[in-house]
Amino acid sequence: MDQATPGTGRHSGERRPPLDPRLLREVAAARRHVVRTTALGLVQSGAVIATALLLARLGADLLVDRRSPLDSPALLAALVVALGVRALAVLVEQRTAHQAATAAIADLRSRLIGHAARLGPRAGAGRGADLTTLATTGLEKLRPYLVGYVPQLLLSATVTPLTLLTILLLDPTSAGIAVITLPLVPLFMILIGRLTVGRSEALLADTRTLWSQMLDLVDGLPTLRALGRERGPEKMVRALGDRHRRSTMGSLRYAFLSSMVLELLGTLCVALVAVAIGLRLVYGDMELAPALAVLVLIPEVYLPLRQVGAQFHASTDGVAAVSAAFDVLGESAPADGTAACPDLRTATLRLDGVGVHSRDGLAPHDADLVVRPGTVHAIAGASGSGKTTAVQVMLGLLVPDEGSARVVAADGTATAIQDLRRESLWSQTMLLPQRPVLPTGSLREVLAEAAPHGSADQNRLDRAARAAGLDRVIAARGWDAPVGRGGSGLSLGERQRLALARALLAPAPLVVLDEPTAHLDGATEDLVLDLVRTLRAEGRTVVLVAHRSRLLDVADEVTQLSPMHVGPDEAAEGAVR
Amino acid sequence: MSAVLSSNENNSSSGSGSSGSGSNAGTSSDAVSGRSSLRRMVELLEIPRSRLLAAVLAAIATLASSFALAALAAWLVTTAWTMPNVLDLTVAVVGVRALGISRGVFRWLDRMLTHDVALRGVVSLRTNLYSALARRRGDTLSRVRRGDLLARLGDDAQELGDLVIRAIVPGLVAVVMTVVVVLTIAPLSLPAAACMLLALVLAGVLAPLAAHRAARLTETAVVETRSELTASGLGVLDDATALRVQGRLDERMEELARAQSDHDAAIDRAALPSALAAASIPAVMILAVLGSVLAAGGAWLHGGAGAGAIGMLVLLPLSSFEAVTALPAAASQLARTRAAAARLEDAVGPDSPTPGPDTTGGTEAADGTAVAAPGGAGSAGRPTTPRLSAHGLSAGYGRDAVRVHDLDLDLAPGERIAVTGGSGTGKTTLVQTLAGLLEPVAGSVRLGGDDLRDLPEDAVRAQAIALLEDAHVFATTVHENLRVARGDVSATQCADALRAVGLEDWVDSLPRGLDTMLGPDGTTISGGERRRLLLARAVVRAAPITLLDEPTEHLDAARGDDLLRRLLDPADGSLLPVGASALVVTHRVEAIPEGTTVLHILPGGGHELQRAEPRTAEHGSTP
Repeated sequence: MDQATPGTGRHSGERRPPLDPRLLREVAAARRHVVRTTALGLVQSGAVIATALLLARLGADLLVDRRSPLDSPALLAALVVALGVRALAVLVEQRTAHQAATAAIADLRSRLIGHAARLGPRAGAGRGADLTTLATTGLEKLRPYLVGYVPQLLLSATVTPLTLLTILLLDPTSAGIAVITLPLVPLFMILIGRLTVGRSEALLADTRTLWSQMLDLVDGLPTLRALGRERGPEKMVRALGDRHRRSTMGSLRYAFLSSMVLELLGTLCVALVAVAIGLRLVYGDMELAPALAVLVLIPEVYLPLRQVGAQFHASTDGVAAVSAAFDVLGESAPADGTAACPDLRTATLRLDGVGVHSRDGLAPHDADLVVRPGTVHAIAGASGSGKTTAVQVMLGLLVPDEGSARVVAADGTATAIQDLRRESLWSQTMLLPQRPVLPTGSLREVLAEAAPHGSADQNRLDRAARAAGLDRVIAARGWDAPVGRGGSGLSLGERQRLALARALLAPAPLVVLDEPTAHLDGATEDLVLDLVRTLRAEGRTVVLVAHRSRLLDVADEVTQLSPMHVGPDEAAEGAVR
Repeated sequence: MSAVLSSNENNSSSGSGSSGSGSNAGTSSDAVSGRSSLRRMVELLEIPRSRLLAAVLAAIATLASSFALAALAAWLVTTAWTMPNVLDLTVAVVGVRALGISRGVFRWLDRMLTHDVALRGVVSLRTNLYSALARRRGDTLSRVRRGDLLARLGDDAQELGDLVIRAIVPGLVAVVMTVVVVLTIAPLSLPAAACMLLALVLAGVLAPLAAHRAARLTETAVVETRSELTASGLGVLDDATALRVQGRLDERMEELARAQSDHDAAIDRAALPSALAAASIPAVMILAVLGSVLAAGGAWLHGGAGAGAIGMLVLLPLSSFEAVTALPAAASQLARTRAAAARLEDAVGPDSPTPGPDTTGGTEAADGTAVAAPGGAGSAGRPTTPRLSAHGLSAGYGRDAVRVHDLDLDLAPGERIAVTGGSGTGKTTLVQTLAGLLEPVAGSVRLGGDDLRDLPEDAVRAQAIALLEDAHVFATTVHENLRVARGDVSATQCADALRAVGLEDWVDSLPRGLDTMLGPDGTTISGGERRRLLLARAVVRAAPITLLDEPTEHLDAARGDDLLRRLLDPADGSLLPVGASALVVTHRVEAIPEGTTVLHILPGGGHELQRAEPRTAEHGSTP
């Protein structure tokens, strides 16, 4: 479909090769696909050429020598074989192309997601929705690209030159005509490309505008109904649609010129060759057999080129997806350190003057905070002030752009967090993010999994469940109630409580709670406060990300964070770094 | 058009054809609902026959050009070999050259006309879908997720347009071209024409069948395994940080790999039928070529045919299959569109009265900024206010979620009632039900003695409007945002209404006053300003009955209480006209004027009706 659908950003500015070398180098399935398709392309070329020569021979024998095709069973059989081989080659090629596409997509997706996860929060923040779109629907664009476009591209690199060569051997004049018209294809394509430049961007912008206006009308529909005014905007919907249609047709007018030129040159070449051959035959300057063969072969020279043109969109989308995927894979993840993390039961975590670049400045900015062992430390600040980011720096998930993050052991030796072997830090940490992340299994399994091996007796589980206010859930559904991925089957508040109970059971000396009361009502908020006190009583260190005052009340220490906003120009400079 | 559709679904042996009943229960089998929803959506495209015909003719001209070029070139070359007078060939030579050019030109025309008709169809479809959504009664609209709705109006509507481009036009063209090809060959040799017909029909049936199957398998795989895969992938990306710290990333990556391989296995089942579809056309070509070559032998040696005819017989079979090559793509498009049509039907609900051009008069959408048009409702000549009453009313989203039980309420003409209650007690649900936006779970709501369910929605809305808490502020001007409530409202009336709700300073501060754009790209407004703007809608509308949901939230107490008092005082005409009735939901119990009837909703669904007590010192404290 040539109409741009909303949501698909197409970067038409850059020129990319139609086959990304990184795809061939790194994805075995794609590499094998290209090799196999090239080989099958050669087979198809051979079949096409053989068909033309055999058909011409049969025709010439019949007309010139008055020999019935039935008298040349070998030629007939060969013709059937040639046509059959072509069909078979197409079958094998398409069958394997689909499988190759499936394998290549699977390979790239797992690598992309695995790598993005290891790149840390910065990679996610920088790309966000783009990355998830790429990993889910974006990579699927590889299928039409590998199944439709790449084979045609390779056919145009095999069938076109080989048929041209055969024509040259049969009749140099016809080959000459083809060779003169062929370069006109890229020439006209470039000219039309010049003509359409900017138009697709304009269309895309227009599409986005249409879409946001459409969104507005859809969002407002319940409001209009409540006012009894829902029957005016459909005119507006039509007006918006008509405007969009006109601008789409305006840009298609030029875009279709390219297919017109391809068709025109292809058929024009056939016409010129036919007339040239006809005129030479009239004067007896040419044999019939090569004339017929050339007439069959000449459209085949252009066919793959026309197909490549028809698959143009599959190619741009596919190439863009491949390129975006390898751009992400090309980023190097922050290196793991080598030092072992000191015992967090006695060590202090320090951030000194930490700043992290955000979209419009630094968040946090110049953050100083000292988390002493066995205390409850709250990180407060308005939303967007970098509270969660500060925690990520503290846990070695992000390397700060300014200042330093260190862990100071009981004996006073300080180590930069980025030099730590992360696993040695994380194994001592229990992190509860805003949206609880839970393993799957029964309620019992999910809870017991948090406790160290063998220590999860029923008594402890009961106590933790009660402390987290989970006892009512268990009473209602039983210990064997299943918890799905992402905690499905439980409400958000219940998931939060389950995560809190897990924090209680886990032996980790450092517990980080990111907005633990966000999804809980007032009564259960008390429960969280009690739970924090319990954790402190057990001698654990608790870091709270909070903006609610009641949470701040239980903290031994509160650090207020503030971001620094800069104007767009300065932000751009900051981004250059 | 329906001929093409049925020709592409030859796999269905059922001859029942058109099932007359337009409405079908949501529980009916997939295949049935898929077919009828496709038909319904295709009708909503409102494709004009003349434009479709023009597109099809252009497409036929394109393919006929290249077929005629191949035929004429073959005739020319073989006739030339007999060395006739060159002058006898002149017409053919000119013809060949002309055909060499015409194909490209017709192709351009064909692409333009086809896309134009498809895009027009999509515009009509979107408009019709929007109307259907607007007509949907009950709470269904609020239940469809916004993202889903946009996906339906966007991608799924597009699939219907693609049906025109990839299936309807190529399908019609393939039928016509089959006839053209067979009729061209028949005069040369009947056996060759028979072979060609057989080959074309085989190609036109086998390839689309295989492609359709492949598309169905892919669709099923997407439905069954893609969501699991997507959820798994998103899960890893969303929770990456926590998973790494918890040391569970690898475990989740394995889970993702399992989901991926399930998906791969499901989707690979489509690979073979899809490849068979692609290979079936070169395969049936064997039949056509062989038949033609053998027929040519007979015709030349025994039938006395000319050399030109023999040339055509030998060479044409290779050029006769262009039209049917488009059919596999058409069949898979049909499968995709059918799935999209089923989703669309699901979103807009079962068949509603046929949409037609709306006849309600209205101001034309000037430069795309007008949001609402008709000016009929809320015009100056005010009818007498009817009585709004609830009888044994239970309100809620469904039988299991009843929020208000067994309510009897009477909103007499000119009366003002306040509704109070804790958060989550169902005050908004009650307002929606009283306004007829939500079906009562039990009991009834009556307007002037008639059950709301028996009244046309227009008639209800001419009397009673609701202003809900989450009402939308459109991304257009302040003026247009008030015209949403009443189409014919003048700038002066707008200014008056905005002054009445205390927004005059705000409007004065706006760069272009009433013509300032609000929303994403214009001035954004604060919560309190938004509240009062919504209230101003009620003021300009001045409906006989106004139901207001928390009109003063997000306002400071002094301002809010003043507005509330003016809304609830039946003798105060500064906001709502004297004689109009109103029901106002509020949490500011202390600001309700004494003597006002107060409906207090209790958490369990119970309620009590009382009169606001006279208040003492507090009353004077707010200026």
